[in-house]
Amino acid sequence: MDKDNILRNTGWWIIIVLSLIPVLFILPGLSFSVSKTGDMLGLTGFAMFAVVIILSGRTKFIERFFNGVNDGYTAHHFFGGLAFVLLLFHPLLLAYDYLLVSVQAAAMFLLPSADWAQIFGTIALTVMTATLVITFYMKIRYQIWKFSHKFMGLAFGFAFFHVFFIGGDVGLNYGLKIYLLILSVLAIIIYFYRSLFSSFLVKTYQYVIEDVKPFEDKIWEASLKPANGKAIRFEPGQFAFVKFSSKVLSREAHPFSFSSPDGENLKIAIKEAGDYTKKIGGLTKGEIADIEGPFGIFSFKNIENQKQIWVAGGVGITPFLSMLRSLGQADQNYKIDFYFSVRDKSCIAFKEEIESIAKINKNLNVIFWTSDTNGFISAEKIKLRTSDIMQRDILICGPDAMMLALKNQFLRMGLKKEEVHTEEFKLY
Amino acid sequence: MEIKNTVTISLIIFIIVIIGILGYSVLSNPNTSTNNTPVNLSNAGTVIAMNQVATHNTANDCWVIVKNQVYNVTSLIPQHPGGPGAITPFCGKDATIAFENRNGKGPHPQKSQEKLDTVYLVGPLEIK
Repeated sequence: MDKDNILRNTGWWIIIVLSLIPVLFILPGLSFSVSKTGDMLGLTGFAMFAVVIILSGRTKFIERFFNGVNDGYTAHHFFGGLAFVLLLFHPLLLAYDYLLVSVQAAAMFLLPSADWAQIFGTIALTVMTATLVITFYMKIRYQIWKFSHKFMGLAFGFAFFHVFFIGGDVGLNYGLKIYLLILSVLAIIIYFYRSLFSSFLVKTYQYVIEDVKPFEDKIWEASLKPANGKAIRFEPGQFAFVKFSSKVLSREAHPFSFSSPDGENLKIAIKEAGDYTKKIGGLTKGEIADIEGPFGIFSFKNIENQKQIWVAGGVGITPFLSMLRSLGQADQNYKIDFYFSVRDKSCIAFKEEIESIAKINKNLNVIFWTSDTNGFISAEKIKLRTSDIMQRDILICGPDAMMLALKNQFLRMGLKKEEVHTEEFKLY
Repeated sequence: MEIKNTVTISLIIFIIVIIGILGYSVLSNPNTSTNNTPVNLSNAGTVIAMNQVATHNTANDCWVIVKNQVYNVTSLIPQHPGGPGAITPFCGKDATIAFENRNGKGPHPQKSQEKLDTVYLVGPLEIK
């Protein structure tokens, strides 16, 4: 494994370590008690909360420690939920000591009191609860969810004042205070950068739409050119967050794969799948797109092994389009078997173009797989057609269920985890 | 999906415990509620004997002595930042050393003394 690969697998561990460091500060001389455990849950939960906010910054620096920005968002979602769990049990365990006195004493402890620091903690947990109930349990429009999620910054602000004014371990331990202050300041800076002032602070490339064409399987391809001469550079297979300024679309950033090779003019392929993408066909020439990126590590160029199998399912064709269109400029030692799996023949988007690329590139072998006649694609079926499968790296992009099933099949077949690469469209 | 299950279970436990404690507290027999003897009695100057302090020796009716002043800290116990365990052992007794020392953490801030005097003071201890 090279240095970049090693680094990419450390992100989740770094989060765990950063969250547990507060416990190390109070370990010396610690005597176990239920309320002390409650204290530790509070400190760990708060540190984790800060780290989760830092993760949401979507910075290139942080992406280095994860397998792409989607892995970072998966970690954000997981550790955000975990921080919440820790913070829920923080007051419950502290209330235990009061419960030993009487139920009324525990009730008085849990209710808001004249202590402002305690009130801040109650508000923080209440806002956090409301925001996460929306995230985990309510199916609402993406724009509304995104707006609601910004209130996590408010929850963090109140939590910050609770931690630094409640006294206790933070008040007594200078090192702990400094550590939490540094984490908090970083989190606040990232929150302002990403959630409040992204329009001003986040670097984007401005493009102008040239045209938008429909293809099979409800896929549209937008062609764009730089608005002011500055073109984004990317590896084939990467994606960007795109915000359209359009009469038909709300101004919200969504992740879309580049479908063109790296170059002056850009293509982005988008499938109609939800409220937002259903209106993509309404984009018109001259409208502007702000593009933030590139993100992702899903590219044939990032894999040392030049013998590869690519498996695209439905809309998963989009990152592969960029890779297919880049093959002509790539090292001719690549040997690619490309499986494009769709429901039926009518869903094979870009069929003619893919066939013509295969005619020109003798190192590319294309297999169109229709599940209505051949059944679902599987690792065993791929092995029948690509006999040296065990010497290849596999790239898979498509619906979640398909990617998970294929990945497990390849691993059971004997391929190693680092030889099977997937690109998730869902960001958590 | 797994963290969602953990969050759900934790939320359910949290809600059950909170409702349980608050509900029980609201519905429980008023005779067992904490003693909220009015403080700041207008009997300034009335001294309190040691044996009288000693009768208020439970968490539900807790008087302590700090620097020869008597305080009814019953309502303070649930709110005490250091936890109830820092106060309850001294109900009915002299808590001066514990108040000044805080188990090695040093004296209470000045604000704590001021709060004791303004909110919880019963009166001076009788010095024999």
